[in-house]
Amino acid sequence: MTDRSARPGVPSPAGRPAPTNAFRPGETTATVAVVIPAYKHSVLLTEAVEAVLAQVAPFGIATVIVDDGCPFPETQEIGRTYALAEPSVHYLRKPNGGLSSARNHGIAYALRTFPDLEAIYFLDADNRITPTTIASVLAFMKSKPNVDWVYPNIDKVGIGWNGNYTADYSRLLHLTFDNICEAGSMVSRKMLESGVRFDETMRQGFEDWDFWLQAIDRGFEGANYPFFGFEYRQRAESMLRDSNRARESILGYIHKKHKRLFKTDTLLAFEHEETPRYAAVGVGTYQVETFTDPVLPHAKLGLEELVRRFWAAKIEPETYGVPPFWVWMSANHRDALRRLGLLHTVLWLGEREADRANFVALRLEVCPTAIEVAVRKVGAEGTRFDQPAAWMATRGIMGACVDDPTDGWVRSLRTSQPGPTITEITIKAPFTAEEMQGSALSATNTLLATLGALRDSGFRSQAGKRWIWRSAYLPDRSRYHAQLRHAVGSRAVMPRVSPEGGPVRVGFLLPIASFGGVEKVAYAVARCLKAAGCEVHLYILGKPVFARSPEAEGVFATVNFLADDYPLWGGPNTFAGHDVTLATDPSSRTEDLIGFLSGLDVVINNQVAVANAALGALRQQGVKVLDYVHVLDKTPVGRDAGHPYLALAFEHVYDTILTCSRDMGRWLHGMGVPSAKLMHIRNAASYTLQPEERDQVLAERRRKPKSRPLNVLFLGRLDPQKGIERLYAAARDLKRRGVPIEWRVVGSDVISAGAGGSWKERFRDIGVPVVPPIHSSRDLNRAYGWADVLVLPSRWEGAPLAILEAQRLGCVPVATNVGAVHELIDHGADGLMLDGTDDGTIVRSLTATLTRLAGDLGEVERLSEAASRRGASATWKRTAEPLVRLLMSWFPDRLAAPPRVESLRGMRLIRRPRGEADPALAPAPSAGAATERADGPTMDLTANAPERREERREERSTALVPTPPVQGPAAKTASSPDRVIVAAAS
Amino acid sequence: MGQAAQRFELNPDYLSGLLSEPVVIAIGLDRDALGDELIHAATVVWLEGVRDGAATFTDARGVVSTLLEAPLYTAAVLVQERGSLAEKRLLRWLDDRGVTARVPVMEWCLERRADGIARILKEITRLVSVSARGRVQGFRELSALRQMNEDLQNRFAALEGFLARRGLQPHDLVFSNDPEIDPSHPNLMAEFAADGIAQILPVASDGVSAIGIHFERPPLDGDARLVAQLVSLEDQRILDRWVVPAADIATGWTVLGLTRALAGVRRTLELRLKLQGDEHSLPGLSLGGLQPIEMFRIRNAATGAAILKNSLALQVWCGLPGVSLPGWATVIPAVSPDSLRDGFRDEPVAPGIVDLAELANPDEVSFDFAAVVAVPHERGVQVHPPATGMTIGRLPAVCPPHVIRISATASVANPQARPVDFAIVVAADVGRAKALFAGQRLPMPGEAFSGWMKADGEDARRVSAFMTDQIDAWQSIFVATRMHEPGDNSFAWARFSDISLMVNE
Repeated sequence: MTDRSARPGVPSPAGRPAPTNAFRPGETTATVAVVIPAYKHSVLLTEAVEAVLAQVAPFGIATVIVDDGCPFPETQEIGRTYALAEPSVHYLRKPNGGLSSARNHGIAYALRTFPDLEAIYFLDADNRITPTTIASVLAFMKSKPNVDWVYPNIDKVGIGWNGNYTADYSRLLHLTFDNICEAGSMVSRKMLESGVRFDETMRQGFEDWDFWLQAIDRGFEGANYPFFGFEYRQRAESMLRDSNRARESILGYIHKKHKRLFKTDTLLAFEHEETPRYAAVGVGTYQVETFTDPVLPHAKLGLEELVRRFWAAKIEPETYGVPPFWVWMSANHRDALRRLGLLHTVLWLGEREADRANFVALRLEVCPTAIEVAVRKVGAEGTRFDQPAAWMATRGIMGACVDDPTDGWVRSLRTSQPGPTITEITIKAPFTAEEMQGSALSATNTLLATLGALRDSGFRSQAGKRWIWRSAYLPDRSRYHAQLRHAVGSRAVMPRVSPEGGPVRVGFLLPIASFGGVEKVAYAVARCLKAAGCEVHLYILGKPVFARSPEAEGVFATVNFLADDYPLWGGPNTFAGHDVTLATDPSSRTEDLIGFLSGLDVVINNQVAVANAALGALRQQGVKVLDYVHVLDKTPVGRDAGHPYLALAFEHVYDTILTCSRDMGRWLHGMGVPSAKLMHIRNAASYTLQPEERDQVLAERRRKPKSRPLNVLFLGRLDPQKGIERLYAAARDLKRRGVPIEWRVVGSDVISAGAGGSWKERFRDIGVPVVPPIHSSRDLNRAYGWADVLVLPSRWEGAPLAILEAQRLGCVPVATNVGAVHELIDHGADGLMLDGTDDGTIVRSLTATLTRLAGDLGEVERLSEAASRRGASATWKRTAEPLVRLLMSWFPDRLAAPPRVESLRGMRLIRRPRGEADPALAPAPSAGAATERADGPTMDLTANAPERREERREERSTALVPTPPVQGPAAKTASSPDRVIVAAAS
Repeated sequence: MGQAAQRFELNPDYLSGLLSEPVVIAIGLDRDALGDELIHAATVVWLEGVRDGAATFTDARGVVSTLLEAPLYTAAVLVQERGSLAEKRLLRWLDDRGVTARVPVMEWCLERRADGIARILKEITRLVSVSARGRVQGFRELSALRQMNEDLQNRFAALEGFLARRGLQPHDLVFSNDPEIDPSHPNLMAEFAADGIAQILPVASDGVSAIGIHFERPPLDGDARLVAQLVSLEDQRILDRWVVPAADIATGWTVLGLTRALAGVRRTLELRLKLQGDEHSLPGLSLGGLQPIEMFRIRNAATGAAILKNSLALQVWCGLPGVSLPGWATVIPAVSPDSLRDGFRDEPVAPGIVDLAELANPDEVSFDFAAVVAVPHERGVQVHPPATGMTIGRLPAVCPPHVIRISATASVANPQARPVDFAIVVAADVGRAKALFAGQRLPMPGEAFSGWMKADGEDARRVSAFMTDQIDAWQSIFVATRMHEPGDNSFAWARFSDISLMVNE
């Protein structure tokens, strides 16, 4: 670009001598720019600049000195002098803005000045590099297409120290341990052009850590170059600075800024990709698979490679690693556990137990009716130990076995009285015969053969010799799972990786998984959430048995058992007369629970009392936490008690509290819970029923003779809550008086029979048969179809499912007016309620009511018809809709609201998600309507009955196309606040 | 500016140019008002305006540049009248960019330009004084460092003497990877004869004084040689070399001793071994045990790829950093670089060397400007040819012994120039050089002559002069230009750039 016509004494084209001092073109052909921020290092700056000028490279290297407003005139003099003397040196001066600001200034200048720039290297003014650094590091970076920054080992001069950072780059480590990438790194142009910059608000340090985290967030990866030639000048003050005076506050800022990166899901995904937690050795095949989440794609390798890695890790533990937990299992067994949704929980249990015992034995047994886990210590009861289907152990115990000069101790695993401590985990589940076939192979032999390969390896000759001469700084690479645990604040972390943008993961916490109402509601809601696109998981914290129920079949992606000595109730503290456990109490087992429940987006606690203590920590990690409250219990002396009080105690833990009745919502609100936190999910029948099945039952009911005894059914636990004494007294009186009633009591004793003997026997003595509990829909349909009346003389209740199920099949409920029963029964219309609180009143009232109904089957028929209509109106799909919408508002990108289409009497009813306007229709007026939160509907506490509320919501949110008119009760069913358009069906 | 401006907004070439030299900024003054003397003496730019954080300048040729950064050095701001809005904006713009040094602003008019020049001269005088003080300070610090160095030398010498007298000098085996018999690789060196093999050592460099390698079979033929190099990987420096005749190798350990135990910043060491001679005649190099870490396995020295699962059987010995091995250590000594003939390296000359360029034949050539000018940033010298005869530039006593060749790129920086002849000579003095340039004699030992090479404004040519025989003396380098056809030397901006020396390692 120089005007080469200019020469002293030669006329220029303009007719006058050309100036000799026109602009001289600067050097702009740099491939790498070295940015040197300068502030108060005026003298040492020359060393840094000279180090760059001394570079030997087959490409241009620019030195960009950024004087960050240094108050020392010397800095400016030196910078200017170099820029005047060396064409490749550029001196920029700016007002003081801190190290980040200076580096960013240099980045901006380099990017706009050097069109051929490929990378920038950051060199602090007091540090140095060797003459080959830039060329060798750029060549290294270009040889690795996926690498966009290259960082050095730390060789300190001054206070001398050499730190080994040669391990493969790990995002997990970078997030959970320390800033493992020195700022003196080379960064690709691509990464800088993506917008990664130093945070100029961070003036107390760690700005480089934040810089790399930005890069991780954008999907870039770094790599260490072991022979970098970076020399870090460590002086006393920088030592003090490194002592992390402000570390905690800065880390807090970094955590908030990079919340997504620090999420457990993200960390787990990094662990899976970088340092997988488990090595699974195939029984019989010796193929090794390494993973954290076994269902994600993962690496496969031969046993020989595992052996090599084992020895590399033993020799250089901070640089090389192997999975910390090893599993010997057949592919058949692993596939079976995966099919049943048990694989993650088995790995988790195995990991937990492997930390407690030398070895973990896994035993599989067939059980068609339940999934069950049992954990026991082998030898504690002096029982014989049989060979298991699979083994688990830590890398540590394998290492100890390798170091053991004899192998007799570990070989005793083959015997019935093994020497090592063993925890046995027995998994009973509906395994198929084919799945159990893998049991024929010996996991023990595979374990011992693996150990033999380790012991006999030629790599053993290097044991005890360290080859890397730099000092260890990074943690043991085989123990990154400990870093993960520390970051999550837990013990063993459930190895379930949630893919980014995948379905919303909802965990249902249950104390037990039997056939109780709480479980039934949880299963029903889980079914709805699954239908809405969520992935639902079941967590059983009490007795580790999942009784198989048709309504839960195929709903849960996984079933998880805590299977430990975990208290379901109580604690050392008191709240409103309740024993409670706080997060700080050891009995809360907070660390265990956080690990157990990790990987979830939403947790719904279904009456696991002690879990309340741990859920706060989960919420802090960004998990949405919900409580599902069903019933206000009574103590034996009649004091209100139970889970609603715990909901008050831990209200701050919950994002939302779900109630099965409006009555419970009002109670919680009255006790101080904001209405914005309450959501009413109206109960519906716990099991699904096809319309034709229902029609058939109702038709049979209508065909019953008009003159016959009244069929009375009781269905439930034979315990005081259900008013079993009241039922007994009434039945005995009615029997004695010869009232024409056929009785059927379905249930079982749940507590000690006590002085009066078992209820089953007592009912039998008065001629009332008691049959065992029934759970299948067929049996329930048969029972409700047989009965004219369902009696429920409970002392307290929530919103009993039995009432809804009975009504649906035209069975008339006769129940005490407790809890939310009045929300389910319109007295005299579709059922009958018994008022009063003392037993005598209730027994008299029940006796009189049944006597009247036995004498007036016409009234029974009328009530039955109304009950069946009402029972048909409640479906879980509809009642759980507010919850689905709430989740949609929390996870709009992962749980899209598809338009729903329903048939409505020859019309097509199209519901649009809220906010999606139809330009043809003006919004419906909403005067007087309850306001709703942006993230979900607020419970309307003013309405008297759900139906009434639905009508009002319909009024404000439904717009109807004028023709054809919609009439009848079906119009009432549009209960969603969504905008509803009814168009003529094509 | 009356002439049409040529726009080069954000043109990196011009921007960085403006950022690398002192400038005089004129505001509201046209070219005639400044006067040609000033424009020729200094780089003058005219401020067009400041907008959106950028300042736009025009230079004397009408090139327009928009800058985000402040110019490197503003020698003066010339204004028609103090206090104008444009002046204030410029000063604020400079201030926003952290320019805290006092920028001299002066009113300029042609009639009183002597006053203005006097003020600029005063400023320059001040700067010269500041610079002189800085240099003196530098000399003083250098002198102090020399004294400290001498003091340390004396103390080390005393220490060495003490250790030698008492026999206290350490020579310790710090690492040993013992040999393991592996019949599957009986002759490792023969197998990888072409590229050689490399082994990273497991200890830091400081204090390393000797390295032992192990042979499991004696040599068959005494004519072959094993060449060993010790390299520090962080800076790719060859720290020492050994040439071991096969005859000197016996079964067992052969210990290669360094010239002195390594000192300084700790580095990673790599031992490179290569065979010279009959590959089947060498003894078998022993392997250590299986090595699980790939980085520490024996690798192909050329490709860096691991070639075996083993590391070498080796020993590492350490002594006192910076000190020669004790006399009692039984080692094969390292060889000096000049005894080997296996490596040539082209080294560019340092910019400081070309700064020494001077006119060697002032008695024959005279211009009203400098005929020979150093161009340090191009590692070159500008040599203006006269219309007749030749211009000779000299770089006095800069050519070291052991140089094989000297090269430079010859170019004429104007397409309108007529062809120019270029030549390079290495000789002791200008008389001998002139004789070579004139073709009156042939080069003697220690001398070189490239012959004349024609170049013009279109093509640059590489000119090389090869030494006849090397002598142990420093010579001068002479660069000469002449018009290919004597006569018109207009536009003949002749230049030798990228001067480099090929040396024999």
